[in-house]
Amino acid sequence: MTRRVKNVPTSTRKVEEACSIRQTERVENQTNQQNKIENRLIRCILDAGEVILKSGGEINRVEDTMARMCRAYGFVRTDVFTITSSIVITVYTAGGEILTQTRRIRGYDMNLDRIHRMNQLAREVCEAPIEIGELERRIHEIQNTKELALWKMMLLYGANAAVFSVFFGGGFAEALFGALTGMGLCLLLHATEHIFTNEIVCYACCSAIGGLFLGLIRKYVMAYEVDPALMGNIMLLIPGIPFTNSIRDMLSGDTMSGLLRMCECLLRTVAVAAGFVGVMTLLGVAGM
Amino acid sequence: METREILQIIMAGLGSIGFALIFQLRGTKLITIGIGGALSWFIFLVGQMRGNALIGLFLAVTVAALTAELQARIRRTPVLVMEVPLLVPLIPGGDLYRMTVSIMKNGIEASLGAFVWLVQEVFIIAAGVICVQTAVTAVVKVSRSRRHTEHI
Repeated sequence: MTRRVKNVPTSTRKVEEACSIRQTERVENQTNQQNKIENRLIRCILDAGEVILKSGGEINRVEDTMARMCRAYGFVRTDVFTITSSIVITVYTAGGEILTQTRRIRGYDMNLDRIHRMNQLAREVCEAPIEIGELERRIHEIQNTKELALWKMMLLYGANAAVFSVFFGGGFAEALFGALTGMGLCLLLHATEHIFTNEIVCYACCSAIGGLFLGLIRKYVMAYEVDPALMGNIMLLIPGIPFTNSIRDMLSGDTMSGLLRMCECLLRTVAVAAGFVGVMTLLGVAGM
Repeated sequence: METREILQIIMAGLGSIGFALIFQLRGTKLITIGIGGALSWFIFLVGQMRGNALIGLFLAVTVAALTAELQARIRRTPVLVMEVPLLVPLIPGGDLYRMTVSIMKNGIEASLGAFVWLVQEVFIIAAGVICVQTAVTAVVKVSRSRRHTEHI
């Protein structure tokens, strides 16, 4: 970077050299700064994708939202690849840099409100890109949306179990026992979430305990129709919707993610059904 | 239609709302979801009474998915948000239970019929959703490109 200048005293030459070095440093600093901002931006966009994926959004939507946001922030080219457990994003910046980030995704939690809010934020960003600090704040806000309190969740589980018990032909007693089991299941799932590292085993055990409760009441407390109460609770636990989504993923071209999700759903369904029905059959009260 | 069926329709609506609440939805969307869930179960029941439950199921899914697509566009929210709770009553949880009980009691071979029925139901639900999604996307694209050419 230094220029050779003839007939100039050494001291001046030194000053000139120092100047040019400083200039190079400044340019490098600027590029570094720019890179840092771009990296932060990609991290934000990854966060956005993660929120949608974790809340149960389709693969298509995750990739599409991320690509759109990248375009809005002026990246020349974006390649996003998402499967159920990982997101990879590579962008080509306007300055000619290529940046890549990866995110491992663990644990799902169906939350439609988050998908809705993230979608709105993405729409806003695509219309007029907002400043990065603000973007970080907004995404953080969506990530930390308050979840329902445990007692509210329990009430909802209970109410839903009761509703579906009646739906499947139960009367008052079935609805009552269904609701009690539903509330118990909610509590149990919440409590055992951290004990069982394996989700499938967790669901099987909780279902078995739920089945045991219903079966014991049938056997020793009072006679009622077990089937509707059980079906009401099965509706709470089986992943019917993720299953439909997985088929949709497959047909829209994301075969791999679709298959992965479908396998997860099938395993969970089998676990739940086996947990409930196994206990009931052992007690000899199923299908009566 | 007897009291039993009417009760079931009401419960289908309530069930949709209940799941929407579990999935943290709020506001006026819940009313639409309740009505849509009840309506789609009504259509399924009509199909079942006419003797063809699978066609009834397909029509019910189609109506639920159409409602979801329409409402999602009106409310500017992802289709999934409306569709998930609307489809809840149509999930074959009851048939899954019956199949499992049958497997436990009569063995796998005797329960093949129930198993095939369940698989059919699941695929019909998926097919209904996909048909509506494809049709709506196609219509939107065609109308957009037409608008575009008019501008030129």
